[in-house]
Amino acid sequence: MNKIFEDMKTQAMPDESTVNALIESLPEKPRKRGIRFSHIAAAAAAALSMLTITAGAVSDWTFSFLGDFSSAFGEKTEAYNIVESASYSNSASDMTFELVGVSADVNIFRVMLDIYPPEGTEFTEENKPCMNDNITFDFYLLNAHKGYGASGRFDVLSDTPQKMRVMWTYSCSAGIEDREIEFVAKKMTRTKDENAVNTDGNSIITDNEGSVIKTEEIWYTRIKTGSAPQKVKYEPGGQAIDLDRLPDSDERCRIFVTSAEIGSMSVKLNGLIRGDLVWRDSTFTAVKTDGTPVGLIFSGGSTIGGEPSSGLKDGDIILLFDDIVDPADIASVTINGTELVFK
Amino acid sequence: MRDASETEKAVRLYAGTVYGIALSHTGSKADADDVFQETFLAFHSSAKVFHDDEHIKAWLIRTAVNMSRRAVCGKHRRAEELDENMPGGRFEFAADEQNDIADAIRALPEKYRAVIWLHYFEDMPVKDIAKALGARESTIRSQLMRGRERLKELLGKDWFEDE
Repeated sequence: MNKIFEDMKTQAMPDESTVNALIESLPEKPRKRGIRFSHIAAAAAAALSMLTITAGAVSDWTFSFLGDFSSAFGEKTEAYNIVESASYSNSASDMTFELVGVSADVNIFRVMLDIYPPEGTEFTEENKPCMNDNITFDFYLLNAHKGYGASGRFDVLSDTPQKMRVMWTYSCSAGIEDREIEFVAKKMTRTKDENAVNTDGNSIITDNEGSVIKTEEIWYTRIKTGSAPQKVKYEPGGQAIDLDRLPDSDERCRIFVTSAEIGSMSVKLNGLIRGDLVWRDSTFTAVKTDGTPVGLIFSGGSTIGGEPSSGLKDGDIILLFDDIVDPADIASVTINGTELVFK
Repeated sequence: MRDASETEKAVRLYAGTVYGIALSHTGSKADADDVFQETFLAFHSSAKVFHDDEHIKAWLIRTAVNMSRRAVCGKHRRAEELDENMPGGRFEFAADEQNDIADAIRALPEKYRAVIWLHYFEDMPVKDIAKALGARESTIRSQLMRGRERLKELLGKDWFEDE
């Protein structure tokens, strides 16, 4: 080692008093706490988490890992993502899914998902997990009143019970807040039953063959986040939402306003449930009170974590306007031509 | 909750590594002290089962990096920066050129800092850094190279040429 570095390393040590204070203060019992948040610094940052999954042993089941993540970071006011590329590679040692995009402020963000076999083993053709293209990865940036953030999900299906290790890395030149992850492990099975019962009340996912994945148990991680948006401003409702793929729409809908200043809004559709991707096929429009249409930079993304950084709930859809718009000026929002009526 | 003796052993073994990472990110003794303590408290509270000392080291490195980022982020978010001349402010190395090097490392994009520190100050090979930070070896090599180029620009000299 370079002598000067060696000398610096010698100096870069905590005082003995600091060490002793730490050792003497080691708690004997866990401190009470809920989910702990780790706020990661500005500049390029990476959030890492690793999870070992052990799937069950029923051969005709498809096992799935769902990872929800969301982050809020920076003090930005606008950020809309443009997905530049997505790639997927698969090898015996690992499989990687990578998505690269550019946000409106020309920050490059990158999401990587690495899936490894158990240590000391390799995937084989028989046990290699596969990505379900249809529902693999949703990623979007969203505006939250504290800044902007990202939220996403990934979903790995494997036909063979096995262990796998999953690591996801999210990095962005603007920095992020990382969150300690609450792991909730469940198990998922695929079925052709179109009337699959949503046993846990919040998850039905359609696979790329059109089959409904019946949720009995789902493996997923949840990252609790805390940068809640502004409170609900509108409580609209009264009009049925008739969307072909909306499994259980009812008579009401609600509009949530995430942030008046930054021109974003989210739409809550009752009956739209976590994992449902109806928004992919939907067309959203918004019109201001003066009749002017509002451009939508991005729309979509039913939330999946329950409590992503925006504080949105399952079924929420985010609309990002292409201008600074006060949601009070939004007269109407339509979905596939169906107007959501504000109360 | 981990046994205190196990945590103490980890502190004794890896205090320098954790503290170095913290300093390379924060540049502040007070912040580095915080990161150092938070990291080991997290270790102490964690129920994670470690296979060996290297596994512990890797976990501590990753946690220290995350804690450091958080510390820097919190600092940046404050309306007014702390005065570096305040007690507990900027960490001073003994020699000017050492302070220049430390400042230059801190001026790097964050993603390069830990990599540079671990490789050149902790003597960690690329493979181990990749494992600790959960990145690919090629990524670490690339970050090392770019970090070094930046440092050369900042310092006007390539202190970091591999021996």
